[in-house]
Amino acid sequence: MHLLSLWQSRVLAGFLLLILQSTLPAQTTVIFGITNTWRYQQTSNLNSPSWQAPVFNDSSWPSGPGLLYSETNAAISPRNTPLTLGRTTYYFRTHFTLTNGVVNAVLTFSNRIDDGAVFYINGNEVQRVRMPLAPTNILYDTLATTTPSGGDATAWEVFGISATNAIIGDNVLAAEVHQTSSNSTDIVFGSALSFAPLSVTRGPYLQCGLSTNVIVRWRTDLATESVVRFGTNLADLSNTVSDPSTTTEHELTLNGLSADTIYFYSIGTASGALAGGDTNTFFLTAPVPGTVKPTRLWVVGDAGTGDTNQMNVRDAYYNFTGTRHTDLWLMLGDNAYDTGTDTEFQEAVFEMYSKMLSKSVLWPTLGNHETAQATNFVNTYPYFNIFTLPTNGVAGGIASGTEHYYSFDYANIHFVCLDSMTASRATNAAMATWLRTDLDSTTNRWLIAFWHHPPYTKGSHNSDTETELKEMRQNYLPILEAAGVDLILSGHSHSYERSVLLDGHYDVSTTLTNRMVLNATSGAETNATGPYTKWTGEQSNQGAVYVVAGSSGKISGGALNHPAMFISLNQLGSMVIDVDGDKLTAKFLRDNGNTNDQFTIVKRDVQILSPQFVTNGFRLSVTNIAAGKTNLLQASTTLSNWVSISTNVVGSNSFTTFDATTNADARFYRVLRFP
Amino acid sequence: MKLFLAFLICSVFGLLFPKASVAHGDVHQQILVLTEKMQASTNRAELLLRRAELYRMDEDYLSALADCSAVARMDPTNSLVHFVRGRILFDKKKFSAAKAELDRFLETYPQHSEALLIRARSWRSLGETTEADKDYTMAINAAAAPEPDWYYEYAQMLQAGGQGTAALAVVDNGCKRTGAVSLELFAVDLAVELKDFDNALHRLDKFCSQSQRKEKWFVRRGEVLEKAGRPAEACESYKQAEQAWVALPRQFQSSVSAQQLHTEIAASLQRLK
Repeated sequence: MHLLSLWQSRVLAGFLLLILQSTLPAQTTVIFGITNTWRYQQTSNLNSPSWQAPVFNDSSWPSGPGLLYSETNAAISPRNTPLTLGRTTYYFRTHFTLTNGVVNAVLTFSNRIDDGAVFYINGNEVQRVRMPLAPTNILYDTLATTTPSGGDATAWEVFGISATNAIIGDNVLAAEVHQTSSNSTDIVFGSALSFAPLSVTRGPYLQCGLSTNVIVRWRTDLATESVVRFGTNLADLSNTVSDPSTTTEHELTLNGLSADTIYFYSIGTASGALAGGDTNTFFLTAPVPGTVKPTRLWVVGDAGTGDTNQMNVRDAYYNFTGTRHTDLWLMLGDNAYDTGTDTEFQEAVFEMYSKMLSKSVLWPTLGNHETAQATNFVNTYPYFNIFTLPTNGVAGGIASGTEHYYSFDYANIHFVCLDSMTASRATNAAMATWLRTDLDSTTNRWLIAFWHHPPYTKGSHNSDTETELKEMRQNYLPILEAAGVDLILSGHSHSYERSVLLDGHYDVSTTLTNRMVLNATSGAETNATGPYTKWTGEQSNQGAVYVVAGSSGKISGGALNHPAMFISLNQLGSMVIDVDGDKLTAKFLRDNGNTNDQFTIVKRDVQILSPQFVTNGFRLSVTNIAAGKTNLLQASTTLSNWVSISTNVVGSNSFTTFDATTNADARFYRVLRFP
Repeated sequence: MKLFLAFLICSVFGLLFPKASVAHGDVHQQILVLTEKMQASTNRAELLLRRAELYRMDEDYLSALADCSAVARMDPTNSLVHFVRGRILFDKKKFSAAKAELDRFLETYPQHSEALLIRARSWRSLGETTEADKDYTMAINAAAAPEPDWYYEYAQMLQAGGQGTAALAVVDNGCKRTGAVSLELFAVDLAVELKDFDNALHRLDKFCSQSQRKEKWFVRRGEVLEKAGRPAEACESYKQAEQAWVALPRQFQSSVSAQQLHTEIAASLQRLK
């Protein structure tokens, strides 16, 4: 510890304070201390459970204050009541009185135990310490599984249990202490007991929401067991998932759910709910993967300031969406400034978005502020303790083996989350290998990718010069575009920058050519040229829209003049994306509620007739046109980047047309025939 | 408690010791902020170490090492200096010196997985693969949840040294602990390299059974069977690939990778006719 500097000590102190706060909340009432007087029995083998019961008459047992001991280690104190060695098991009983309600309260035991012990309240077993796990019967000659850490009971051992087995009034606490061997050379027992109401300090929040399961997480100020009660009827939360182990970080997976179904839920302990069980605490399971369902996404980037900017952006979305459920929610990194500590996450995420967290599944990515600028590819950043992300392919993608990058399906959308901060961005690294395999495995209609560092930006960062941005553009866009990516979301620059429909632009901004711009219009449905259209007869390189949405917590200006962008705004806001069948509509929703940008991508099924190369003047003959169909004539000099030159070519068995727009160069032509 | 301490130490180090280049604008700004803070601080050592890391990220190694030296003068017992200096020297490609610094740091923190990893890389860069082997193993064992890339890197070193069996064992261990598909694919390659074709086929069959789209796995299977001298089975596998490909929705058939795959399938079937 002497090696730790003041700065490090402050970090350490922060952690210890957190632990302290989580074990001793302000409302704690001490019931008795470590010198509490116990009746004890060290001459008989008590294999019948009757000695644990409140009615058992222990008046013949001797008594003495803690610690009760036979121990030579001087570090163990206060040593008040000597015991005699030679027994395998020693028995203890005491009474305590509760005046407060026991529902959703915690009894905290602070103990010195050498070697193992079992505790009972009013005859009910409540805890084993270094003893064989249940259902093993504990008898007189049952040995403790191990000695205390360090060999002797020199350290406090603390555990909390729900107070459900206690009652208001008189209670009996019984304990039996077991040796690790019949010839053990020491025995120590003492316990202090405190009582505190339990409260939820984080959550509930939803993770890994799929069609048949979802993870519910929350934090309590005291360690307890975990229980989620849920059901499709708010008045009947009769389904239960629980974990008896005590913790302050609760995480339960609810399995066997029906797809596309609303479940109400509450979180709590065996004795009752601590939070939820109301109309705002529910989740809507994902539809069966691949099915079509109107889906709403909310996207925030660089949001984690915890200030009024973030609040205003949040409230603008809450007002905008109203009662329309947010099916899923993406965070584009820098979710909690400045260094991504747990405390910062508490303020900028859990307190900021508590209303949303309890009902919409959050899918985050790692930003540079989650790691305090570190690029170490490790999972010790608080981010990884806070979020539970799919590593094993259960969410619809392929197993990445790491929470740094992952994929999941929702309805007919495949989402890919990459780590642009700490993972190797090389084309032969694990992330790229995984991505290629993942993309080759999906059958979903839409492909949306997100990560923190934008491939194109001239905001508060410059994608022409910064390493992460350049490498993501050069190494990952070719993979994604070849797989037909539709939309790529990122943050990092604190602005909103949105591209035209783009393909094949992998170098610096000055190398952008018209050939890479597949559609230079706004893509707004209301625009004369209509939305961006992608023909589903072709998967690869049909264009994608790139969005920097890093202004959900602050704006930082910049040149905002990247030529790939259709619009660049130094304005606070978030993105709202609606996917409905073959149509994706995205809006930039400002903090004042205005929508300052909107675009739509439409997918249209077509049958592509084989292209023809026209060398005989400009006259094109097509003979495979079915009557009564709508057709589109396209031209290209390279067999890619097809340009529509005539819409609604009249269907007939054959036709001959003249391309009035072309120059003298020969071109390929093809016809798209719509169903 | 041990896990908590490990997390605590890693978190502290994670905050203190970033590794490689980030947006330099951020780094420059942070260097300025730290330099300003130093004027008012009574304990400059911590700030100097943080600034040294930022200088390292900015590839200004001279300034980074100067900050380390200043800390060492202030507090000769500060072993964190050795970690910071080790990383700087590693980035500077002074591998022997980096290793020596990391040795000193690891005397105090022997289970620090990241320091072990950098020392492994230093050994490797020095051509001491046996020592690197030990450090990679220790780094992975010391980490609560080692990342797939670590196994990848470790196994690649063994593979390059002609230790295919050992490399496969490392990758297998990684597959078990992480389940990463990138490692599983590497394991297939290694098994083929070792001519352990049944091993490779077994792995591919597992992929195939789990995947929505099987065409790629059937092709890979065919390739392995060809290498194993089992042309009839290979042909069958390519036929299965063709069937799976034909069954794909049209939009997926048209992707670049799917088109390439289809060409491969046709060529393979032609070859095995």
